[in-house]
Amino acid sequence: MEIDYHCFYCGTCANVCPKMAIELLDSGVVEINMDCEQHIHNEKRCGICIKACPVGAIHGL
Amino acid sequence: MDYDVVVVGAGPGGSMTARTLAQEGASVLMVEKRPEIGMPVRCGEGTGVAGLKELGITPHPKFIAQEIYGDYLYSPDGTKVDMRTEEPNGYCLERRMFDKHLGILAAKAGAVVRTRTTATGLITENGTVKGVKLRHFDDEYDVKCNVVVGADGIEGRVGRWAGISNRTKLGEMTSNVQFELVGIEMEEPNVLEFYLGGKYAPGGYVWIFPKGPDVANVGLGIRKTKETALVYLKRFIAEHENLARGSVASIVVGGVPVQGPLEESVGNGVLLVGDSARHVDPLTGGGIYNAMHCGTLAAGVIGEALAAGNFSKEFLQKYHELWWKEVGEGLMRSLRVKEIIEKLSDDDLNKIAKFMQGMKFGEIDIKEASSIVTQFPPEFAEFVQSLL
Ligand SMILES: Cc1cc2nc3c(=O)[nH]c(=O)nc-3n(C[C@H](O)[C@H](O)[C@H](O)COP(=O)(O)OP(=O)(O)OC[C@H]3O[C@@H](n4cnc5c(N)ncnc54)[C@H](O)[C@@H]3O)c2cc1C
Repeated sequence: MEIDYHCFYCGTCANVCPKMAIELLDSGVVEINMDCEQHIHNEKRCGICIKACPVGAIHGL
Repeated sequence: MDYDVVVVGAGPGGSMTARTLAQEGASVLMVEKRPEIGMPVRCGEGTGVAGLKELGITPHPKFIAQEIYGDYLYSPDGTKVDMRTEEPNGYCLERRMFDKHLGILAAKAGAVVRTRTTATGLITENGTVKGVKLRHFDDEYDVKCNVVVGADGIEGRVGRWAGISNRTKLGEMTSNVQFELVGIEMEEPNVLEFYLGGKYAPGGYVWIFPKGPDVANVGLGIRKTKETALVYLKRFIAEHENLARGSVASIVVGGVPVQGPLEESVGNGVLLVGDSARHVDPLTGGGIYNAMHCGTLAAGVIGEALAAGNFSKEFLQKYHELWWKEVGEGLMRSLRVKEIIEKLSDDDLNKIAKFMQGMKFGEIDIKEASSIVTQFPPEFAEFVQSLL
């Protein structure tokens, strides 16, 4: 998963993520941690954050 | 104990909780991960006159951009329903200043406020929350307290750390984008405008909230769509000549959870306030007043818990019951109306709007309202009732 420059750091993705894998750091950075399904199982991403993002800033690699 | 209470998040919910507790004499720490309270804004900035009055917040020009006199509702074919009021019933705020003002009030009441300080976890002993782990630049430290208040908004973690599931499912979160447009023309610069229908905003609506004679927040929320909210908003603006000429002074992006209130909002030594407890109205997306109001309710119950020395889930449950009684029923009603609207086609909305056109809402009395409602097919009646 990748977050691009469209990101507004709004937290929508962090809320909908079933794994608590997305964190808004205080430094103004959104981080996808190792709990993301794709990282753990090397499986297909669940993609919920991609669909929820209001500006289309998240992409599956 | 380092503090009686730690409040995580300095939005309207957190600041009202912290302020009320401090006024009652509790020792309170409020932490906010952002460097400045109120920034960045994630809001359409509309709120009610009655709510602020009830909460004892005196309106001040530094955070009131515009007084509002009701609204116009537009159906997809452009039929306008006039819901203006004689007296101001709302404000368009400067949330940047409003949130900061509330944070300052909390600090002045005696709460310790620390910005750029992030809660990174909870300290738990035998299933009871006993404090928070904090990070401020490179300092990581623990703070012990009797109660942690999760007023940490939609991205908040306090609830989930404490085992209270406050995640929103994808279809229950509206994705929102808003442009603050300058140099536009509005029908009336003190009346809110709402545009309903799948044509403009499937699963949500478009809002135009005036902030001055030629400035307004123009935004929308959508759900379950292929295209992003940004695409829908740009399209809406391009189709409206009066807006298309405006310059974009700021962009706001955010999610609003619209699934209705949580069934559980407290645990041992912890409770949730505001968006993190889903206190936001599922129909309108409005959450400022409820967050503030529930913050004061939370403070009241925490005050009692401090006096009793009892911070158990059972004791704090009183807060859950209190807010359900005071705002929960209204939220459930909004949820039902939202579910009705979801089933209406753009055609249905046009029909309803045509029927309602010409009604003078401020002048309809209760008797007349119920006779109007009964004239509608049952599936529309609750929606119409909610407007009246
Ligand atoms: C686009 C949009 C338009 C809206 N328009 C309106 C409107 O017109 N009227 C209305 O009434 N409502 C509106 N809302 C909803 C309203 O903004 C929220 O309901 C309201 O802000 C809720 O207040 P809160 O205090 O619960 O949370 P928030 O205002 O979100 O505050 C939570 C705070 O917690 C902080 N925080 C989060 N995690 C941590 C952590 N780990 N450590 C420290 N701090 C943390 C955040 O940085 C944030 O400052 C809108 C929302 C959106 C997204």
